[in-house]
Amino acid sequence: MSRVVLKNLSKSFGEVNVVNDISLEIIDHEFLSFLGPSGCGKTTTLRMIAGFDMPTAGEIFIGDRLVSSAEKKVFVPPEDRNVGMVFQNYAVWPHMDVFKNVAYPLKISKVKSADIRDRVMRVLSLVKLKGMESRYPHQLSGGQQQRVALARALIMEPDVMLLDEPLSNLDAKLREEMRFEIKDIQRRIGVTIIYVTHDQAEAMAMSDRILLLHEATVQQLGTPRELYERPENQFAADFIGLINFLRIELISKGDGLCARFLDADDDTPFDINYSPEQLSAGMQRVFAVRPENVKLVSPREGHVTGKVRKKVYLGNILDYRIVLGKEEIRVEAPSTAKYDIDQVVGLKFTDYVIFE
Amino acid sequence: MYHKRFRADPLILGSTFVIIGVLIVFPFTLLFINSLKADGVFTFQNYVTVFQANRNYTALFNSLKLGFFTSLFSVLLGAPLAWLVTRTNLPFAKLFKTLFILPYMIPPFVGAIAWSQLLNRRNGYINSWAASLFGLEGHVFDVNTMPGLIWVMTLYLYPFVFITVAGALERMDPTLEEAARTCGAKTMRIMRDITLPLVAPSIAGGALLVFASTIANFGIPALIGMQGRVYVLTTMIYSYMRRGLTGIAMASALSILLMSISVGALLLNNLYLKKKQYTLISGKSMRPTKLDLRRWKIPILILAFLVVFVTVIMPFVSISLTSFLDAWGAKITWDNLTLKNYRYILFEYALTKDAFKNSFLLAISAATVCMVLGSLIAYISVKTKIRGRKALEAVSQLPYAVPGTVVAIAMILAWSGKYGINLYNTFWIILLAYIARYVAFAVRTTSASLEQIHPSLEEAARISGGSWLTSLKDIVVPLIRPGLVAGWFLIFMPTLRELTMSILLWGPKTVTIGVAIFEMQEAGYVQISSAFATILLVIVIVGNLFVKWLTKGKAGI
Repeated sequence: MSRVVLKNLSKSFGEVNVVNDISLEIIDHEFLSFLGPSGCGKTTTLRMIAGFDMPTAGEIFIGDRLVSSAEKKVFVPPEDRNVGMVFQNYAVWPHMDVFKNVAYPLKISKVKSADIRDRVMRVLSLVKLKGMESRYPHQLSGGQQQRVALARALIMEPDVMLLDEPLSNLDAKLREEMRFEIKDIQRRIGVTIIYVTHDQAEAMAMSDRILLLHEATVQQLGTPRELYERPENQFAADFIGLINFLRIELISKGDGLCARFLDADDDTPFDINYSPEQLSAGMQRVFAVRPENVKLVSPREGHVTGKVRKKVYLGNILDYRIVLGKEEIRVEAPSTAKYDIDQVVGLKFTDYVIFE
Repeated sequence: MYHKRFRADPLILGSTFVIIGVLIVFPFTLLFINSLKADGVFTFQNYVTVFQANRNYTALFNSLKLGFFTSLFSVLLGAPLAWLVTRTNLPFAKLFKTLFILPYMIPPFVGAIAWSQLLNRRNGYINSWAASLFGLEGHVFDVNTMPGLIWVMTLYLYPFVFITVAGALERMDPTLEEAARTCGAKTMRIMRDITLPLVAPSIAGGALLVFASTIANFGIPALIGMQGRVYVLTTMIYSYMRRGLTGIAMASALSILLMSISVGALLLNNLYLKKKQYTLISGKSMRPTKLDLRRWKIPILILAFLVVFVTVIMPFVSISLTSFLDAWGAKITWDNLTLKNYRYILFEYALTKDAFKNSFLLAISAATVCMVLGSLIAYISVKTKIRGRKALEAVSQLPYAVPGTVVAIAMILAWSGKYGINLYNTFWIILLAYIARYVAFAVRTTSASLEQIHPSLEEAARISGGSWLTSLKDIVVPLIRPGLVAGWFLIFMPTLRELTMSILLWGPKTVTIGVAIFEMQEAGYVQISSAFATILLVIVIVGNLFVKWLTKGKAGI
């Protein structure tokens, strides 16, 4: 059993709330990422699960065991939690060679030395470090040191692995390579992973689910697809991928609703596929649309019209900036699109979200 | 038209090489040659003679013994204290950190005076107190012995270990220990497997620094050892030089010996241990988890206070109390307290007034010259591609690595008339010695600030039409000014209280503060030397606080 449950978890340093009432269940074998800008509380949450920080309120369960509860005064120290952890700066011990680093958890739990040798070799081949057992950390590259840290966490067969921005010190190419490897290792041994990162691409590529945090509070919990296609608030929409925000006013039209832009020259109302139960006429809202969900069409076919101000050729796409009165909107068009600067075009929205 | 303009840089930069040549290379070469010369011919005779004399042998052995035990006890005292203030929830840890470094600031010879008052066999305060308490006859402690020397030396030099180990523990990446914890290791196990092996190079480095400083120290063995006829290399050289210039051949040979040992220890530290220490530094500082002392908190707090009491409070109380005594050795009563010792040294005694004047003049001149010379050397080494710049920098560091006694002997050899210039017994020979020894400080502080200045800043000034000198004056100097000011005080403070070199170089008209206190103590004017030492301590403490305020806590202690 290796699920992790957080119940109303909070942490404050004095007056400052660094983690504010997080509740979450991470299921067995799941790869879950804590994503957010620096200072959002993701690392503190991870360190509370590891046992390095004590929560001010709330409970943490690993498996079925309560490991931390501010209310019941339960606190299991990190060394008794059986979690593996990989640190941002690797934390590979410089005075021990690769073998000793990786074997250390087994030595602590008094495994027989013949078994230690066996298991170290197995895990070293899993992280592709076979043949390097007698090297010292200063003889290894950053990527290799990270593999040592990974092996050291894996060898204890932990209930859950915690990874704290493990790839952020690596160069771009290596980072991509390690992403797939970590994912692959997880798939093979089926360990539960909690992964902290500020890199949205990393979180999208690896995670089963993402917990998006901002200013100590949960913004959204969902699959990468849900976060991208159905962001629940402006922060979530803005943090992941590119998006345009435009102010709209809702107008009733028969039984349904339509909207018009508040800051555009062309304020022709256009239909929206939201029901009157969700929104009602007279409201002012924010219309959020991703650049790839805007089609450039002839002026008559679009929801609104605008004028091309700038276009940049990026190979696979053309990056257009279209002026709609006071505001400007970014549009990604296929590189075959043939609209020129100052030309009036129609904009057609294929997918969008409306926020308060 | 092409104007041939006067260019200042080759002249100024070139003369720096010449000055360092005359100031450092020349005297040290002479020292080396002189140790190999007897009766005008090259020979190893001096070294043979040195080892034929039993007392030289004993002095060498004593130096090594003192160095070894002082290093050992400094580690036993300094390393646990460093761990306590950085890694546990000891109350007032920050205050204790300052207090544990404090002995480093007290001039060792002042510490020696204090401890000979506290522990001398005739009427040491502690001996008298113990005798009256337990009704004993005679003395319990005798400071004028090898154990006494080791005791006093340890109390004043253990901060080297404390500082290096505390630094290593603070810089050490806390995740190294956290990683061990997630592997299932308990606190004590982590200490043994991770923390201790990782700080071991720093402990060894601190111990080597203590070793080098111990065998280079003059004040403590002179004031405590000589009375008990315990001679070490520095005091043996001093006693040869007291015979006048006739002892200089033997003194040179002993100096070379002394120099080899201390430079060896420092090289070992720099070449081998420093490299190992680098692997610890993580760059970003995070707060390490602090160990809860629980029920040990109060006993350990008392112990920490006891260390401060013994190393700082007791000696200070002893010296200042003695300075107010009318008669030394008599009972401490109101009738026996007086201010006359202060009146005497401040207003009546010509020698002490001279000492103040000379020391201030020497310290101000040495600090100023060192900063000018040192920043030129740093500039050449950091900012130019002149050939030999690294050698220049290395040579400028040499006199600080070498014991002060050795520097003084080299100065005497070079400037006592044999080569045309006779500065022996003058103000100038002391000044030259101070400059030679402390220019290393100036080079270090300024090169650190110079490295922060991107070359493009100077290049922009040149492109704008400024000459080299103008860009130096308008761009470089203003940018490194805080470093220059801090560096000036870092030289002013130790030269003001200098003893080791001054004692070999002073003449009838060039008494310094250190020499005056030393001579009065040796002559038995205990209250007067105590009063003088108290004044010096106050100057040192106020000066350090001032430097700390001036540099916003970066320099000073």
